[in-house]
Order: sequence, then structure tokens, then C-alpha cells
Amino acid sequence: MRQRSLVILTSVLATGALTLTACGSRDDSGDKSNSGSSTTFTIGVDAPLSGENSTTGLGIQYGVQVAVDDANKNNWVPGVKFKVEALDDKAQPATGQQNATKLVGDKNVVGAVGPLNSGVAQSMQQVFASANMVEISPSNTNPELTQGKNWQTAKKRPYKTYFRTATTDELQGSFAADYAYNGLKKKKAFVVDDKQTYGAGLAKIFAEKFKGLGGTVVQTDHVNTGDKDFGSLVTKIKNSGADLLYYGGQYDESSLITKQLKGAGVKIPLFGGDGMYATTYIDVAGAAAAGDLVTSVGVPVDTLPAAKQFIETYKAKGYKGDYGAYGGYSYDAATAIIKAVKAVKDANGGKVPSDINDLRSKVVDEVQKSDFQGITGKVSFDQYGDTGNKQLTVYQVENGEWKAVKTGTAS
Amino acid sequence: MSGIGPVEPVGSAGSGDGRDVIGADAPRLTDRWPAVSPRVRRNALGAGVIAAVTAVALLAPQAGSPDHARPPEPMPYPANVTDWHYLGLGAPLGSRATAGSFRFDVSVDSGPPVTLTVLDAAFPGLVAHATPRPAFTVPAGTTRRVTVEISVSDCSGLPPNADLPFLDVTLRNTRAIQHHSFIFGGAYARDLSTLFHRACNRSPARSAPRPSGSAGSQNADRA
Amino acid sequence: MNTLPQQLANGLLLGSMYGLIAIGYTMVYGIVQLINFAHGEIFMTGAFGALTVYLYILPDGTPMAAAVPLMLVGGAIVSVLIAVGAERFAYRPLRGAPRLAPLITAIGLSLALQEAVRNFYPNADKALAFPGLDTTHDIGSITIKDADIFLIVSAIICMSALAWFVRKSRTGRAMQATAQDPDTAQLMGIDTNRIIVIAFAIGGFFAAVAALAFGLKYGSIDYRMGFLMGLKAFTAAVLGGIGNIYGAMLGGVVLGIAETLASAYINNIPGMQQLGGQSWANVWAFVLLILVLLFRPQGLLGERVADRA
Repeated sequence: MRQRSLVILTSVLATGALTLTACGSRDDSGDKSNSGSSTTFTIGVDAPLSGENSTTGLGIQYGVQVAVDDANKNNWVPGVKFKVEALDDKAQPATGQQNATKLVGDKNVVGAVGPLNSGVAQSMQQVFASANMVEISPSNTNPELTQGKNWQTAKKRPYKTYFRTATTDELQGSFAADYAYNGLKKKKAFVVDDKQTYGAGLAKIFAEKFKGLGGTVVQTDHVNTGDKDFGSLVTKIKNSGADLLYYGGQYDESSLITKQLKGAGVKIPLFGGDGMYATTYIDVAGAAAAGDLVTSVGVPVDTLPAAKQFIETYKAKGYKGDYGAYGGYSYDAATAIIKAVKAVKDANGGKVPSDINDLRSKVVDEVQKSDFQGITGKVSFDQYGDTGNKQLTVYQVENGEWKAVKTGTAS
Repeated sequence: MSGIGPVEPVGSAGSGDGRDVIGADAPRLTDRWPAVSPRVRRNALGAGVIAAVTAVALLAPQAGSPDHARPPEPMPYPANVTDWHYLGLGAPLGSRATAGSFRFDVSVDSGPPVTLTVLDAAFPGLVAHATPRPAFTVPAGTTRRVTVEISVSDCSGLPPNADLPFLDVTLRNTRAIQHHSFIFGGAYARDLSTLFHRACNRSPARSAPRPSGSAGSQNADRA
Repeated sequence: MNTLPQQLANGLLLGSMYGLIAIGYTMVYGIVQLINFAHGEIFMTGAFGALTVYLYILPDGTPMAAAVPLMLVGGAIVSVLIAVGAERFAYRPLRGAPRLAPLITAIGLSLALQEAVRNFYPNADKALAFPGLDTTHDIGSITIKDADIFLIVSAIICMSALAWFVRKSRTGRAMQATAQDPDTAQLMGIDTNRIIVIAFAIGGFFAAVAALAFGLKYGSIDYRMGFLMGLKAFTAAVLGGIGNIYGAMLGGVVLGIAETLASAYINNIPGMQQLGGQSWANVWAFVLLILVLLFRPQGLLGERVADRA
């Protein structure tokens, strides 16, 4: 009896463990040809690939995949092939840190793209910095990541290995506040965030800018990621007389909030940031999403002629996730790393440095010098590692689709 | 997701009032149904299994027919090719100035010519228009110098400082009409803030809200 | 506008859902002293079972009044089968093993079920839309949806039926006997294995009812929904007195109302702004649990079974 129970216990645990690891490894695709004549380097990807935020996270993974496939197909770096190693951080900072450690420890990895969440990025920056390995996030928008804790008063770059192709929430929050106040003529906002680095930061900036324009923030509240029942919050919003709900966070919670809000008869739009810009938001919220708004980084990918090929490839391959928010930026981030490898190789007399640490640190320097026309526009980085391409778009849900209603460029 | 079409004017972006009522089409639920007896449930179960088999048989063949063939769009959207660059004030602001002229370089990288219309300066108390003409066209590959006249009409609608001020512009070329904001930091923000202070007789905002006198100020703040 | 009635209604609804799930924990614990941590996942699979019926079996455009009972059937089949299967293949072989063994099995089973749904259900790696019952009704200052009516009505019906079943029916009394002393019950001719299976099945059915209500109310389900709801329901069961079916329901309602009121009003108390709001609801729920356990370790109602040797 005892033996039998032990067998069953272990088998159940093994099943659980195996299914878990299966998810981690199933994403390894890409070019594995490691013939003698060419070297293969790995570009790491870290993003939430399952569960919460995975719609946008998968968009990052496959955006990088398309870039790597293009690089291999077109032989961007002669004699060098690339492959993708995608790790799932489940939007958890601790998991992100483990993944970063894993990538740094792999001597084939030249650089990493990711993560999706600013809060996860905070835990990964140090790991990449100490290994002198480049990390480019296509989606982190929290200003602190590049400009330091005191970005409002004294900007100071904390890590020279960290770059991003998305612009910051300082712009995004201002842009949203301007559209809410001047575009939508909303005067009373109820501001909610999910207490994460990204969500709380964005909501705070929005609230400041909205008040700066003359609007009132009637009340603020916070939710937990993973919450499902927002009945109490909805009743508070209903009672507050707000004419706009601003939400700093991801689509997982906000799609439920808008559904429960409209369900309770509160017909005010929900306005959020780039973390909410995903098709899943509309899929889940259904008709309740109509009229809701987001700001997102960049201009709509499908208005970019250079991105046409990218979108076609993405769709033709049947990749999961939504490329809309960050797919193009992920492509450009991966391209920046690939181009940096090429620049290092060219500067080294046509040979890739044999020491991986040497290569990594040179790649960081070359990424800093990036200046090329990517599919989302010009790719370059300023002295903080922030993108030179500071564009934003307001999208509104119309007939079950995100529709661009206004764009903005910062200079 | 389709491309962005002609953009609706900003005023009509909607207050959300006219939006759909969710679930308006959902059928009413009677209170009767949870009280289904086990026998009925068993029958329903049988029916469900039969229905399942039928439905799978019927639905399986008509799985997915992809439909993403969009015509090529070689022409760039105007927002992606237009650049604004702040040059400086057209003339120094007087000590009681209520208006200023701000000079910009506008350039278009590629594609068809872009026609620009300056709408406003993003604060309710400001009126902005480009001189000499409110709408002007910039062909690709050229740079045009534009002066935007911004005047203060209502101090109550202005924040103490303009930080990241916007310039709202409509961009139009043969591809699309886009409503676009150009967002400026640096010199433009400083110059615009100076205009606010002069026009509204405020001293620079940093010291304005503080009560004067250092010894009493802490108490004053607490009160 | 006075929001208290609405907030109480919100709490009552949330609490009924906790209560329905808590029944599964409390019945299983009452009879085999096992905390079935996979019960949250049984709840989750019930929701997916109901969604499967809606998406793949019912023709498009089926009126919801007809669809909901069929979805309940689908959800119940899945939940009950998984609950009974778990008992038969995972827990029964471990009966008599040290208590830690079935507990760890339950956790493993819970992970396995989550990952199975995530990997094998179409598109289940993200949240799936669930048909909602969103028509609203205003009763005084309270606004409720059809889904809320479904939840409260089915909770009342299920609870009354269970109370009758346990007290009056032959099987129910056999169940009480088994809970009191399984060995003696067996000597008295009660097939305890059958009783245990029935307890798991009832728990699974109640979880399916709660899962359907969850889907109809919130309009979206995902493979991780069982974790937090299961944890809350377990809390509710402990709060009410684990092993006691009335306690489970009471615990659920108390927990739901406490959470809702805490999130609604605590930040209005001067000096407590930092400790209120939605994000602190869980904290206050557990503060309440600790307080109750401090003064009534057996829970609000306590376990109704007699002392165990």
C-alpha cells in the first residue's frame, strides 16, 4: 500500500512538474543549424508568455522571431546565424531575474529583448549590467528605468546596458491627460492602478498632468493583479460622479473592470496605457469595451509602410499573441542587437571576438550608437538609453476594434 | 485591425454617453431554471451528448478560412514623415505680453506633400494660429519655417507652468488625415511658461504658491 | 447616494460564490480529513466545461435561458468527473498514508489540472470570454444583473437541497455517520467508499454551479481563476468552521461582505486612507480570519461532528 501510494504521489508530482517544464521549453524554435562554417548566437527574449499579459508578451517573442528569421534569411551578418531563446517570466519580477541569470549564464547569448513589464525590468537590469550584456525592452515605459529614481528633478542613468525602443510614461501620461481633458472634455477622473511599477507610475503621472491641466482627480484606488471581482470598486466609481476612469495597469484586470463598470450602468469610458492595448481587452470585455481608450507607444504598426512585410510574415506564420502594441518595436530591438553584432564583427577585421564577454560589452557600445531606419521609424538611443523615436497614439474601441484617433510626436 | 482612417474631429471624440449598453440584447433569465429536477437534468445530459456529437460533426469541416490580403500601401502616413522643430521666439516677450510668436521648422521627409493646420496649443486658455496662413503645405524633402502666434485668452485655464506643452495639428496628405500632437520640452516649454507668467501677472511658479516669510511658513502650511 | 445597500449586495453575491465553493472543501474535510487543494481547479474546470458547451455544442444564437441549464450540465459533468476521478485515482490510494501525502498530491493535482487546461484547451493560455447575463435591474438603490440573480437563487436552492439531503436522506445520514466515525460506520454496513465519492461529487457539482455563476457574472474565465477563488473559499470554510456545511456558507458570506466593506469604506476612516481600497480587501479578509480563529478556533459555527477518538 505504502509503495503504491508513493508511486502515485511521485507520478502526480512528476506530471505537474513535467507539464510546467514543457511550457518552458516548447518555445525554442529558430535556426538550430550549427554547421562548422557559421557561428550561431542566441538572442534571449523575456516576456510573459503564459497567463496574464501573455497576449502582448507573445507579440514580443514572435516580433523578435521574425527579425531573427529575416536576419538569417538575408544573411545580415555573414557567417553568423541567430536563434531565439524565449523565456516566460509570467509577469513576475523574481522569475524575470532567474531568466536574466539564465540568459547571462548561456555563453551563446549576445543580448536580450524584454521584458514586457517595468516591474520585471527593475529586477533584471542589475543582472544584465553586471554581465555587461545588452538588454532592450520594446515596451517598458516607466521613466525610472532609464532616468533614475529622481527623474523628475535630476536624471541619472542607472544602467548603461539597458535600452528601450518604447518611449516613457512621462510623455504617455501627459498625452493621455491632454486627450482626456482637451479632447474628450473630461473634468473629473477616477484614477485606479494595479500597484505595479508600470501601472502605479503611469497612473500617478496621469493624475498629476490631468490636475495640471485643470481637471480634478475625484478619488484614487488600487487593485491587485489577478483580482476578478470589482463590485466594490465599481460602486465607489459610480458614487464618485467621475466622468472618466483612468486605469494604470494591464488588460487582464481592466477588461474585467470595464465590463463590471458598464454592467453596473456607469457609462463612462475607461482610459488606460499601452499595457491595455491588446486585442484580448476587446475579446474579454466585449460590447462593454466600446468607447474605451488607450494611449500606446509608437504609431499604429499598420500605418508604417516598412512594417507591412513584418505584419504579413507574422500573420502568415500564424504566430500567437498580438503584434499591435510592441511587435514592431521588438523587431527593431532585435535588429539593433543584430546590427550591433555586425558592427562589432566589421570593426574587428571581419571576425567575431572569440571571448563572449568581450563581444557582449562591444555589442552594448554599438547598440548605444544605433542609428538606422527600423520598421517603426528611426532607431536610435539617447544618453539615457531612451529611444529617439518618441511617438504615441490614442486608440479608441470602435466596432470591436482599436482605432487610432490621435497621434503625437515628441521632440 | 485595419489602418487608421479619417480621424474624427476632436470635439466629437465622444463623452461616452452614446455608447452601447452592454448586454442590452441578452435574454432575460427566469428564476425557474436552476430548479431543474435530476430526471430532466439526466435527459438534458443525454440531449447534450447527442447535440455534441452532431455539432462536432457539423462544425468540424468549416474550420478557419484566413482572410488577410490587404492591398499594398506604399504611401506614408503624414504623421510618420512630418517633423517639427522649435527654433525660438520670433520676438522677445514684453513684460506684459499676452501673446508671443513662436518660430518652428517644419519638414517632410518623403511621400506626397503634407498640408498642416494648426488647431490649438492644448491649454483651454490659449489661442494658437499659424501666420501668415492657418493652413500651409510642405512638399517632401523641404523644410518650411512657420511662426505660430499664441495668445493668452483666459488665465484661469492655464497651469502654473507649461511642462511638455503640446501643439495640436491636423496633418493631411493623399494617404490620410491625422490628428497629431507635437510635444515639446526644453526651450518651447520655458518660453511658453514665461508667456503664461507675463500675461497672467504671475511671478514664476516655483515661488508663487509659498507664503512669504520663512519663520511663519511652516505653520502656515500646516494650518 | 448611500452606497451601503449596494456594497452589502456586492458582498453577499461574492460571498455566495465563496460559499458554494467552500462546500466542496468542507464536505471532503468533514469526511476524510483531507484539504482538497485541487478543489479550486475543479471549480475552474467546471467553468471550462460550461464554456465548451456554449462554444462547441450549442448552436449559435441559442437563447441564454436555454443555454444556461445546458452549460450547467456540461460544467457539472466535467467538475464531478474530475472530482470523483481525483478521489478514485489520486486520494483513495493514499488513504491511510500520512496526512502530508494526500495534501501534496492535491497540490500536484492542482498544478497538473491548471497546466492541462492551459495546454490543451484552445486559446486557454489567455483569458477567454464567457457569455454574460448582463441585463441589469434596479431595486431601490441596488443595481443587480441577471447573473447575480442566478447566483443567489442557485446558492439558496443548492444549500437548501444539501441541508435536506444531509439531514433527511438515507445517504445523507450515512454521510454524517461516516464523518463521525468511518470505521464504525463501515461496521454498520455503510459503504464508506461510496459515501466519500458522493461527498466529492457534491463538492464538484457545487463548484460547477459557482463556476457558471462566475462566468456569467464576470464574463471571462482563465485557467488560473481557481487558485485565488479556491484559496478564498478555503478561508471561508475555515472561517465558518471546516467540516460544517452551514459554516461554509456563512463563512463565505461573512468573508465576501467583509472584503467588500473593507475595500469600500476603510479609506474613509480618518488616518486609514493608506489601508483601504480594493487592494487591501484580501488583507482585511485575513485579518478577520485571524481574529475569528483567535477567539473561536473552531470557526464561527464549529465542526458539527462529535469528538473524534
